[in-house]
Amino acid sequence: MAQITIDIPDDLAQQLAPFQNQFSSLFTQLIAPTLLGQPTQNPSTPDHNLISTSGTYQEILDFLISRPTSEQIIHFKVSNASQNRLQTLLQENREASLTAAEIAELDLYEQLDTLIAFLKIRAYTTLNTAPKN
Amino acid sequence: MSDYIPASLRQLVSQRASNACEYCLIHQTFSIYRHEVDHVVALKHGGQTTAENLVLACLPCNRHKGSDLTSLDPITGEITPLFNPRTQTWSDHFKLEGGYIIGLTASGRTTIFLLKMNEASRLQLRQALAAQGLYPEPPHDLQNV
Repeated sequence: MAQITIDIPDDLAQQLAPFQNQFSSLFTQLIAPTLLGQPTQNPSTPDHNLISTSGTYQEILDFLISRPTSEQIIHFKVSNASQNRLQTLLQENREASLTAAEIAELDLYEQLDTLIAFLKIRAYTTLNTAPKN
Repeated sequence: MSDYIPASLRQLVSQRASNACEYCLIHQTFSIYRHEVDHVVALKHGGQTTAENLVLACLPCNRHKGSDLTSLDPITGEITPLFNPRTQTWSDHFKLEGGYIIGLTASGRTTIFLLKMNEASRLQLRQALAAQGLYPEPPHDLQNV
């Protein structure tokens, strides 16, 4: 099983302490289905949304699990397929024709972007404070 | 209706903007996506796919702008045109304090409001970048990433 290390504020850590041994199952039960878009809100196109959302999400997960270097984190970009999916959603957004599931998908893409952006800052700082040979 | 933009035009728009969002100034280095090319005047309002009508926008700015041309000034409540990066100058309409974007004009305030430029997570990100000297402009070695 893969391990993920995340930084959380101290006060949140305190509040979460009683649930420490349940993190793994909580993550699986609560967070993963939401992020993976499994309970889709649009029954007419569930497969399409499931596949595309999982694509970008899976890509980011695979990247994080690969133990990337700071350099790799700074330069990380999603694949062309994921970029194209985002482009399609933004175009539909301009035409105001997004389904509820697609709005949720865009929300997810924004959240993932924010998360990795903070990682990129961390990686940059790490690189710049590392002793130079 | 298609928003198709030829690769050469995309490249021109990105380079002209130095790969930074022309609304909130965030550089695409710190995104997992490339910034998207957006029509200032959307096709549905008769906008053209020409260099004079295209801007580079990050995901949140692009998303919140949609095809809008105006919104309400949060102070006066009046319908106000959005900031146009092609015909107007950023520093005439906005200023930065840390990562916080302040509107100097009605258009500036209206654009900040509609595009949710100071939304908590976006503000926090820009403040974190600014604290490391990575915003509004990243160091030179990161600018072409």
